[in-house]
Amino acid sequence: MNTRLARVLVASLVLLWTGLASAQGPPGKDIHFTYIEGQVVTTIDPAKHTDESSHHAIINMYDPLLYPKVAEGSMEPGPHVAESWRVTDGAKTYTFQIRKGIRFHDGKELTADDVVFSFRRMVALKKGFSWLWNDVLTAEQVRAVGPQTVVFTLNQPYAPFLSTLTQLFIVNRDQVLANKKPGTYGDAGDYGEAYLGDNVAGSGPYTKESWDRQTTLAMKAFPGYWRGWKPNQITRVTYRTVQEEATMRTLLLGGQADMIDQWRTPATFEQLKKTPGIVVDETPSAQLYHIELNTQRAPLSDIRVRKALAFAFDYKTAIDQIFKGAVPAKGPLPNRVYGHSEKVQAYAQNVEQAKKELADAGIKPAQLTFDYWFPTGNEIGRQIGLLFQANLAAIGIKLNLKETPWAQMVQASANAETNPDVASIFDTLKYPHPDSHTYGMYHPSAWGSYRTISRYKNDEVTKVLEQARATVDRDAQLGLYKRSQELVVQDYPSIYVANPLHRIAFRDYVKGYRYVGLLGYDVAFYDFTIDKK
Amino acid sequence: MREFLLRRLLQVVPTVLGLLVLIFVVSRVMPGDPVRLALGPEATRQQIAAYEEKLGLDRPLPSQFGHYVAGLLRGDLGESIRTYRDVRLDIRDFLPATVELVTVALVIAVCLGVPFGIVAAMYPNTWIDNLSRLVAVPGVALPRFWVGILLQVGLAYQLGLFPIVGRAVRAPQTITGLYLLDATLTGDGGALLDAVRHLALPALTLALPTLAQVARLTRAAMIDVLKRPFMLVHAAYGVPPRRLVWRYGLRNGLTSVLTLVGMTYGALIENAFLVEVVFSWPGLSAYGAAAVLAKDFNAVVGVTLVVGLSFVLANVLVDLLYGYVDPRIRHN
Repeated sequence: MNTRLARVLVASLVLLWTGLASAQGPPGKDIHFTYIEGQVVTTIDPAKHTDESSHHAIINMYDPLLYPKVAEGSMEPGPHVAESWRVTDGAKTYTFQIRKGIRFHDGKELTADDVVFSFRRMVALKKGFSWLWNDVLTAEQVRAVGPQTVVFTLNQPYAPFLSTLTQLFIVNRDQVLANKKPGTYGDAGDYGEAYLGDNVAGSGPYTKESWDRQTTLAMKAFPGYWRGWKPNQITRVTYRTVQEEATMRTLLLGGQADMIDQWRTPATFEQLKKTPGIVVDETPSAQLYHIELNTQRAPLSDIRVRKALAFAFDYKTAIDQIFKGAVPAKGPLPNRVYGHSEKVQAYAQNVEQAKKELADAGIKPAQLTFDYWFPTGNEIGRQIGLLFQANLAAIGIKLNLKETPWAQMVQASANAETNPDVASIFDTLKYPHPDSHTYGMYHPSAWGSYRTISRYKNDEVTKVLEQARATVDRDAQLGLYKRSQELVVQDYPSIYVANPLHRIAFRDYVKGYRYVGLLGYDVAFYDFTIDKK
Repeated sequence: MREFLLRRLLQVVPTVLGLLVLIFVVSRVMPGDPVRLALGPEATRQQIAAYEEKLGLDRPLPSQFGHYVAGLLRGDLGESIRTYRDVRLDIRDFLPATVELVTVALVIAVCLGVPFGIVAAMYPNTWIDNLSRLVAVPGVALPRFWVGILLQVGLAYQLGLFPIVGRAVRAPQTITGLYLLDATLTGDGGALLDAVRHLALPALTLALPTLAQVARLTRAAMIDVLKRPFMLVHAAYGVPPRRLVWRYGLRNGLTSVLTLVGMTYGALIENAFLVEVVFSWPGLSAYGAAAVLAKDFNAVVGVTLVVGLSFVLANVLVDLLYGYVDPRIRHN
């Protein structure tokens, strides 16, 4: 009896100590970290973010329902706020068990009601990533069936569903409702739009200290974070916006910044690589650079003309000289993403074959003139355009470079009449699933955005993609997505050029950085430790 | 004097109204779909329609204008599609930083430029005059952002005398949003020093071209004034040369400099964005430039109105100063 009692006491003390340790926050000294980003944090509301910098802010202050398996080097979703789940009813019903013991910054425990509220808020506001659940879920189809249990009932099976939940960040329902203002959402008032525009109601590892909305977001560690804290983790973060590249470099070199963002030029990273004390992390990104070809308008509606353009393009020069070290793209899905088909090979230049394709189509090259659209200020787009112009001139085709403001390109691609014929596009994975770069680009229901300038339609591909979305078994599902890629590349709806390198620079004492190919998740300050010897 | 002031202020109304009509129309007809851009490429037609309705973009242009003016009279400048909040709040938060930067830059430009120009005029074609020319020509010719980067590398990075970027490490308690003033009012010496250190390089960068212009203009005006017969008469009466120049010459030569200062204030607010970008300064100018790129039409209109109003008011102030500096204008 005494032994049992002693064991219970010891176990209780251990539990108490562990609890206290995590409740006390990061042990040891105050560790300050300065991250420099070129883009302004436009919002800290987790129902509205779309750009990378806002994403960084939200990832660090809120918890999503599921989280990519970053520690395992994978972008696939894993448990986080939801510790487990069941999929039933032919992949239409998902039941999530919410982890106990997660506390919001105000101390309140996170429950199923908060998850339901967060989802309904996103869908009601119709901003940010709410489009992920268009046509598959409405607000009423998400219910709390217990204090820690949430059920999502989908209209139809939706293969990437779990991946989309990495964008469902949980807000503190009570805190938001206590601060709501009159609005157009019934009892929910303004759904806390005004409040969450300035304040944080999350459970993430950091809380907001200050935000001037233009240059600086200051965050500090939340002592009660449910994952606990270890020595040498970052306790204070200054997230600073600096748009001038030379200034950014000066800050890093001068030790006034610990890490700078990924959007610097290859030349800057080459220079930083040679600097002692600076690490440049280089990894193939989950981004596709391609030249989209409008398959619905003549003469590009003829596959032989599209093939001629693809065979004429000089891939090697583009990768070696312009991207300076990118990975050749093998089809639409970036090579590093799970579900990529190994059977899909990169396109290669073959000028003679290009001429033959045109001859087979009965088209004289001199008859062909295309406009090549690229976003204003995009230097790589311009250089690729000049290269492509020279490549096509070699077979007698004329290419005009049309530098266009991004807003105008987005608008033009919304309608069939104004849709460009040839367009230079960078396209990053939208959610950690092959569906993003297959269904999202090549299913006719997706037409009307810059991602679908090719306006591709192949009934067999459409059918395969629909089957893939409806398939529960993971291997069978990925097999179908692979099949869709193999079919698409045979139709040449795009000239697949490169998966550019993701580069980021930081001081050598920063440990724990890991890029898994998903927007924003690499800059989770909780994952970093500082090792200054 | 009161009548003069009232008349000048009344003239502001049609000017601002004209500016409002012009910028409102331009911001609405700029190519590109702002709502699609704001909501992201994956937004559905329903989402786009709902947001357009919220912003009033589904109405005809005259109706949109009427709605905007009605809002403006209530102090509502509409929602920014980039920051998702009232443009009025954005302007409230960002304007003080720019006003502080531009005002200090202008003070530097005038306080250094005017004496520089006078000395150059007193000793024309000597080494002092040549030195002023040597400073003035590059001052006008060199791009501001480049000068800013040079100052950052030299004075901040190499010598460590100033911070490289930012407005403050420790902001003072907010009263007006102008850090120098707030720190002074609250008696916070540490915050004042911090604000001065952060302000020094951006203000100097912004001031240099204006300083050069002021110096050259003062020189030209003073050379002209110093040759006038009344100056000879004063000299003949035995007025000491220093008093002659600073008391009688300067007041007569200052009107053209005042005109330049009036014209420059609004222009500096508009042009400060390069300096704000280089020094990561949280001001209205950088906000306005980002708004144009994002086709954030309400923000574009709001910022343009503020810049236009500053321009007009600065010129009203200069008109009043004319009267103070030159009594002939006051009496006429």
